[in-house]
Amino acid sequence: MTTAKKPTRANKSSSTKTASKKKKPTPIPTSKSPRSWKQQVWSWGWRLAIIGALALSIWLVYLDAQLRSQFDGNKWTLPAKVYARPLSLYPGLLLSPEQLKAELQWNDYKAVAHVVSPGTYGRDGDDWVIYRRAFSFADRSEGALKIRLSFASGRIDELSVAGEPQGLARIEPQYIGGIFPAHHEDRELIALQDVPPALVAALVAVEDRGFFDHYGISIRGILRAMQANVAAGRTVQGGSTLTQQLVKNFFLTNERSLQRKIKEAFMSVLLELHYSKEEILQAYLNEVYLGQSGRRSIHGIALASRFYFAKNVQQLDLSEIALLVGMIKGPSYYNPLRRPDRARARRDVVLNVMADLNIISASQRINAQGQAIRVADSSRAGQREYPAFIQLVKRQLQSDYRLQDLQNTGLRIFTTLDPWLQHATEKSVQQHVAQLERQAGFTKPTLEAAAVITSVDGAEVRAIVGSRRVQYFGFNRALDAQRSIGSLAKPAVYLTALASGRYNWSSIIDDKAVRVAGQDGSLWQPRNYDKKDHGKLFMVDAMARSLNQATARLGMKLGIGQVVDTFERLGLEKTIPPYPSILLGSLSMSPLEATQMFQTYASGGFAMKPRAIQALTTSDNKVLTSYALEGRQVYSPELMENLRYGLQQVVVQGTAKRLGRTFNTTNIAAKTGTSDEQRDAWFAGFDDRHLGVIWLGRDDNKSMPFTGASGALPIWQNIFIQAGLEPLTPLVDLDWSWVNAYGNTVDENCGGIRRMPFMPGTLIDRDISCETNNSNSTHQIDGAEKELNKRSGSWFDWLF
Amino acid sequence: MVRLVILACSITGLLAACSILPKGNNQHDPRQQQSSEENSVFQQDDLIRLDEGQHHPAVQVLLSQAEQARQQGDSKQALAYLDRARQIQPRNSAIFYRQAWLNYQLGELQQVEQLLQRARLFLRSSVANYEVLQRRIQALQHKVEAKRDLIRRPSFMF
Repeated sequence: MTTAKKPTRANKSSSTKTASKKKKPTPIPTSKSPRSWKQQVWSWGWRLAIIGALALSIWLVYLDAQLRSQFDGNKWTLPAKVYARPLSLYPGLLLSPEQLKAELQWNDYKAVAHVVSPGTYGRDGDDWVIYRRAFSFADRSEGALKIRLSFASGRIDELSVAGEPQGLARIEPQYIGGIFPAHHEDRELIALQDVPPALVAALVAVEDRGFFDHYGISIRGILRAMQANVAAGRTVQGGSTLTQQLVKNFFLTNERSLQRKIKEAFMSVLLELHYSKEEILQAYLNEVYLGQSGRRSIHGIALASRFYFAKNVQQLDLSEIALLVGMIKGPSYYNPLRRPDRARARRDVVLNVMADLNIISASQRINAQGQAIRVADSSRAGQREYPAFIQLVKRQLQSDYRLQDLQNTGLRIFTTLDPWLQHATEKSVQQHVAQLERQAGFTKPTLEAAAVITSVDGAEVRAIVGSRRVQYFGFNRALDAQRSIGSLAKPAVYLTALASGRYNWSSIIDDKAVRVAGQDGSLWQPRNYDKKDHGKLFMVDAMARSLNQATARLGMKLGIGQVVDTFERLGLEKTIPPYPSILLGSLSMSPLEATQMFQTYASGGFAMKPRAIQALTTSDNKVLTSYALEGRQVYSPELMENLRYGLQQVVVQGTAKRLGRTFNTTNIAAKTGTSDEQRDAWFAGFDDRHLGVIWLGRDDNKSMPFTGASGALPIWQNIFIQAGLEPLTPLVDLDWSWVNAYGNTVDENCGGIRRMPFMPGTLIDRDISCETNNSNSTHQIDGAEKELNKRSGSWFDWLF
Repeated sequence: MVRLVILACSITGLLAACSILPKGNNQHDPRQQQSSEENSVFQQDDLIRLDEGQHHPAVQVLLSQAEQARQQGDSKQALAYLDRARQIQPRNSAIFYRQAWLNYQLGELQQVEQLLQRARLFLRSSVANYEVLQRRIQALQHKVEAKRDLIRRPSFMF
């Protein structure tokens, strides 16, 4: 039985087929088929459109959230800015006009005839006028002010501020580098109201004339760009608005794809929806990339203005404004430092556009176009970096702060660096290393050097060089090279002797050859540099002449353990192996560690770590940390003064004698050091203000034809010539007495041959009569030796 | 029951006495009394006399600024001024003494001691305020020692 049921649309074809078997085929009505297909497409189209719209909406909401979250908060990661010490000015300050001039210039001060604006200075003979800029120092903010000062005899004589005599003024510290994030993006932020209107006008005229009319994208701009590109047969014009450029730079990448372009367009519209034109413009001016300086990329017009012209944005003239705006198109291609012709042509194009749009008059255009391209030296002190010092700062801060906070939050770090000393140190290292290489006949760079200069009383690091390539951000030898210190170790041996109370500088010690047997049967047989034995001599002479045999003998008598204790007391934080060879400096140290050791001698007995940071503030000048003077007293000032006498004898009669001739004073404490086979040359010395430690050597640790006196000393000498040397003044008063050839205290007229210092109070009750001292002349020597020989030594067998 | 009450009262009383004993002692501690006297003396008398010392004019400016900051209760700012003064005259005993005194107020005893060591090291009999300064350094040293003793002393004694 067939059913008369009307086939549904779904089973229509199958029922038709069944029917055809039984009946004569009837034509299938086809009139409805095209309509249903269209309907299907239409229906699916709608659905897809709705789904697409929904997806687009979700994407836009996501983009919007992303855009607002990034644009509302801190837009940029701001590297920490590192500053040198401010230059304090006060009557009586030892300061040369050369130093003042250099420090002003390094700080981008301009010499002018009439000092009327901050950041300028004028000079008339010994009289100076400086218009100091406003600056937020670590301790307080100070406004711009006019300082007058005059020099007399190498010192500041009179000082006045704003016309009133003053006891003290200061110049803001020099910027010396940043602690950058991985991409090394550097910028200075600026508010739109601080940007000259001419710069804003020029930017809008050149980059996006319809900026104030469009909503993020400009159809007219795109069509115009297309037309120009088609006509030229290549891409000569972009159709991106300032908003699109900002979106691309801020949120996206430089990828050339349709997808990125679409995203950029949507984000631009969203940005315009949420933010005012002024906010967008300000962000653009701070974001824009304007060149590269080494590893550092220059972003924002404020930093670019300082970098290229050594000026604040407000101080830019029309020619400079046009150049800066013109460079946006291609910071590298139009770089005025490397491509002045291209930069000039581009500047003139910008000036033409400005004149065409009546932003400037024809005469202004002609005047500006007539000016030469004048840019500041990009390697000048105020823009270059100080790698070795910045590395030290970073290292010292990382114990208190996370690296990412240092890289991102715009902290301001006020340090102890003295730019004048730093430059003197760099110059001296570079000049002398090259000179020594010429002397030695090296045909290619072979020698390396490192130097650390600190203040004697506060251990503030004033200068540091980690390589002969002073701007090299690589291995910092001042901090990380571990080299044998040679005779720099000797003062610790003599300090141990003096601290024991059994020795004083007039004690007679023996410089006979010495052999020490180790447990494994090996023999340690140090020899003097001149391969001679010097017999019995005053202890101070053994120190001054840096005699190895006498020092080794003395050290063995005192006990290696005692000397190791001294090293530790001096502040050395490392394991010191108790081998006899440490007495003569087989011990390895970095120049910074050697500085720390000598710092204790220089400061009068305070063990202090050299420190590079004074204070740390937030970007809005709230003090986070102030680093106070620290250090515990590990030796009495009397003992230190006594030791310093020995170190001064190195200059009076010993290995650093030439310093006395150079500086016309022997009130300098110093020690030379040369390691085995002349692999390392050291010099450490201090005057009343600064301590300097110099290392010279080869990275491959091979020997070189220089000693501490011939290789490292001249570097130290040159630094101190430029820094100005202030002779040492005594820490405390010691007792003094004449001694005879046997080291006994005697009356001057009774065989006294030298006047020697003694610890205060130790001369009381000493018999200085002629009879007693001449008859007992050898007792002091032999008695001391016998007593010491009785003491059990270390695990080494003490031979002789 | 009565015994129990008496016992409870006795124990409570004993505990109370033990716990307040150090505090009660402090209030009558002659060293504490001395220290409050010293504070007033410092502020009213010695400080003025210290200022009569022969400081460098630049240091004098900073000492005045430090004193202003101190009077306003801003010890950190005062220390910042004093540190600038120290950099100008790194061996001025009076500067170290003031730094030590401010650190004492801040409870930085370790810092006080090392600053007093420097104050003593650089104290020269030639300076105009030698005697005052010497006395002040000694007094502050005693205060630090007394404070250290108090810290070491246990708060409960049975």
